[in-house]
Amino acid sequence: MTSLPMTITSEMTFETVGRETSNKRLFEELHAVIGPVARLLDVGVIVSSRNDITSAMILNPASSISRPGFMCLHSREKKMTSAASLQIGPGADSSDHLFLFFDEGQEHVTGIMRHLIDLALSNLRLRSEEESLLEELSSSWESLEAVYEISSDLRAVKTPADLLERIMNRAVAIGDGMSAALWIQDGEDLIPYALANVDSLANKNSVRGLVAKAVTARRAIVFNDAELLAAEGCFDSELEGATSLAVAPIATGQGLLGALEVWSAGGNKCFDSHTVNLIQALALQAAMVIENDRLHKATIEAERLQQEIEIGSKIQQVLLLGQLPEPVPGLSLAAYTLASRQIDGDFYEFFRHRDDCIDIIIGDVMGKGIPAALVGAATKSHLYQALNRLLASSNGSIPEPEQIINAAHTRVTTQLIDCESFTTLCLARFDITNRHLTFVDCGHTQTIRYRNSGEIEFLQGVNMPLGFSEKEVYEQTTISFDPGDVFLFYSDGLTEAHDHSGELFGEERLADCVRAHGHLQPAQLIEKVRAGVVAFAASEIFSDDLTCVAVKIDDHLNVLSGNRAELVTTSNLLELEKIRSFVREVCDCKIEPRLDPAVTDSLVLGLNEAATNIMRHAYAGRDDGEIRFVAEVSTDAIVIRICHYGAGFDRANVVQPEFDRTREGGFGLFIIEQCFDDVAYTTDEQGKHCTRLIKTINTKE
Amino acid sequence: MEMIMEKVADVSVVLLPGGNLDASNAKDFKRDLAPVLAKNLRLVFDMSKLQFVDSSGLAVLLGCLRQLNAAGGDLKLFGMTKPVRALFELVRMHRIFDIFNTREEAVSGFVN
Repeated sequence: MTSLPMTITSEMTFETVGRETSNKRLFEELHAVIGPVARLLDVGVIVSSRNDITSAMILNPASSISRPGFMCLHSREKKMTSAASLQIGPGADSSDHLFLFFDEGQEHVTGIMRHLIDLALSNLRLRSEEESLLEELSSSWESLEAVYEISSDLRAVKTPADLLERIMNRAVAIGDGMSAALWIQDGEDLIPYALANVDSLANKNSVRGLVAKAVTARRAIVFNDAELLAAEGCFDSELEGATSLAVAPIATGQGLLGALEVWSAGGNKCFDSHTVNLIQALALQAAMVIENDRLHKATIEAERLQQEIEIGSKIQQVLLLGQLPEPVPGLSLAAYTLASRQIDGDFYEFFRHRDDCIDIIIGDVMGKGIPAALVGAATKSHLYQALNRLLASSNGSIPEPEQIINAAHTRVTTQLIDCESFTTLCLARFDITNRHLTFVDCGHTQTIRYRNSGEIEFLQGVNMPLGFSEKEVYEQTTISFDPGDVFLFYSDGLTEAHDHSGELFGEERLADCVRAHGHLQPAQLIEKVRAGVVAFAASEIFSDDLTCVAVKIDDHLNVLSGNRAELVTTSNLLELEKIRSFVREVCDCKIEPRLDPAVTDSLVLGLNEAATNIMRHAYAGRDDGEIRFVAEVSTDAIVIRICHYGAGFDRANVVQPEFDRTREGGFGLFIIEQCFDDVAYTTDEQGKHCTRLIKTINTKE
Repeated sequence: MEMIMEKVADVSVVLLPGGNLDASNAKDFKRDLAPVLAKNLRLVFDMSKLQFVDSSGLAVLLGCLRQLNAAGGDLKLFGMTKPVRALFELVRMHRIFDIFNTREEAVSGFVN
């Protein structure tokens, strides 16, 4: 430490003159850090960029500020008695010094200043790092712009090919003599999906080569050394003669794999971190374009499928599922289809030949979708044509079921074989008068027969499905049935419905269900079957359609004797259909000559209303009440008595309905009284209520 | 059951399911029709598949007419089978409903 006489005459502001930039920055930093402290401690500070302490000291401080290489950080008008010199920066050769001037006894300021210098140096380092980062960022701006431009293209309505072309052009615009290829992995191969500045490239193996390596390792690969590239890139044919290379991998959440490869064939273009970043961004965008395109196509495909499903379900409803026939006295039937997600070729149809003869056809085409639905529709149509041809050639006598099937078979089988499909079906004819069931089973599921006793039987024929062999001759089987018998026809979708573990519902479960509920009306039985399958599978959605047709031979077939008929039902509204067929049957079978159909219709309607009132009001919605119907036909009238143990009824309390649109109900009684000539309500001592309905008829005409 | 519906201009033609419309299924029928009524003002019901309608079924149809009228729409019927037509006449509903023989007539019934 040397004692120096030093007078600094004026309060100085920071100033630099003629300094090189790096020093200027250093001085700026020193000023910012040291200036305030020096002022506080009342210390004079001069910075010199050369080790020129002598000149610094001999200088008139007032003029020192204008002299290159010197700077005064702090001064005051005061004589300083002590001085110190501190080297700025590491290394013995550093020429930058900081001179301190202070009063005696202030020596500790040198320590403080040493710290402050180090702090300033470290600040300077940090700042320059920050600046170089900023610089990098500003050069990335160009890349960002490219990325942004393509992003806005993505939003505009452009074709994926346009977008990819744009991305590829951006990639080769990185420098002169660039080529680029976008590779997408497809199985074992990498396929050149888009190219720029290169005519064509062959698929490459996804295991060997630099592109494959980038795809597999999912990281960018960069070569700026031509020799090294020549050695490493020998598996990628396009890299012959290339001097530098950058490959950015693509891997998306949707499983799209690939890479954007950019290479330079000439010059000394190097890929720095900016350009590699840009290539990675472009690769990402290319991935987005391809993925969006795929998603778009998948959406269109899904829509197409949905449309097919809608068309198919319409075909199924219109063409495949027959309408229930007009009632056949002596039997009641119900049909049900639970449509699956796909369209099935399940179908059913009814040929009602006479009042006492009906054919029920249920079939199942192999396969799914519209083709299966169309084959089903075609099969139905062939059966119908076969029936009509046979009817025409037999003067109207009803052809046997086996005749119908064999006639249809010769035409339909060739077609089925041609379209590699086949159809299982069962044609069952119910002859009520003779109590015969005649059926032809073409490889269909076994029909379940329920007897009144609770016994279950499977009915199976001997024939193959239609479409197996042109040589097949179809044979019918005839059995007798009894009142109360139930026959359940169904498609294999029902027995092959499975639970989550894959176990099938199966014939045994189905048979158990029929055994338990065979006493019910067909519609109720089918509902129990449906509920059973749904409960078993724990799902209401099945891969196959569940189709079934239930036929019940009426219980009262036996009691219909002489001029008297009797029917006992519960108060369940589902019995209405049975009640209607009961009165129709009485009219059709017991009255000679036949009544005008309009009169029969009105008696059916009237009795329906009377029964509905009893179920709804007398039994107040209970469905286990007993209702007994007795019909007696005399020469001039039909008398029907309906007896029940529900609540009584006083006609006087009911007023005439309004015949405008103001009321939606109240027509029941009016209808009953219009349909019958005499309506009376009585109650006996046991509490049995009876409604007596009389219709006068003229049987003499 | 799902209703099969077809649009002819702004008129929706609904094919009513086949079979019977009676006290046992009128409620379900009403429920199945509800979405159709909610979405369409000009409706035509194709009745040709209905073999039998009773007073409960009639009440549902009347309810449809009222609901549509209240919303500024209308309902036309066509293709009635004989027994159904007989019921309508019996309770004089043929004066309340616009009933046509054919689908074309029913649809063009909306033009005026």
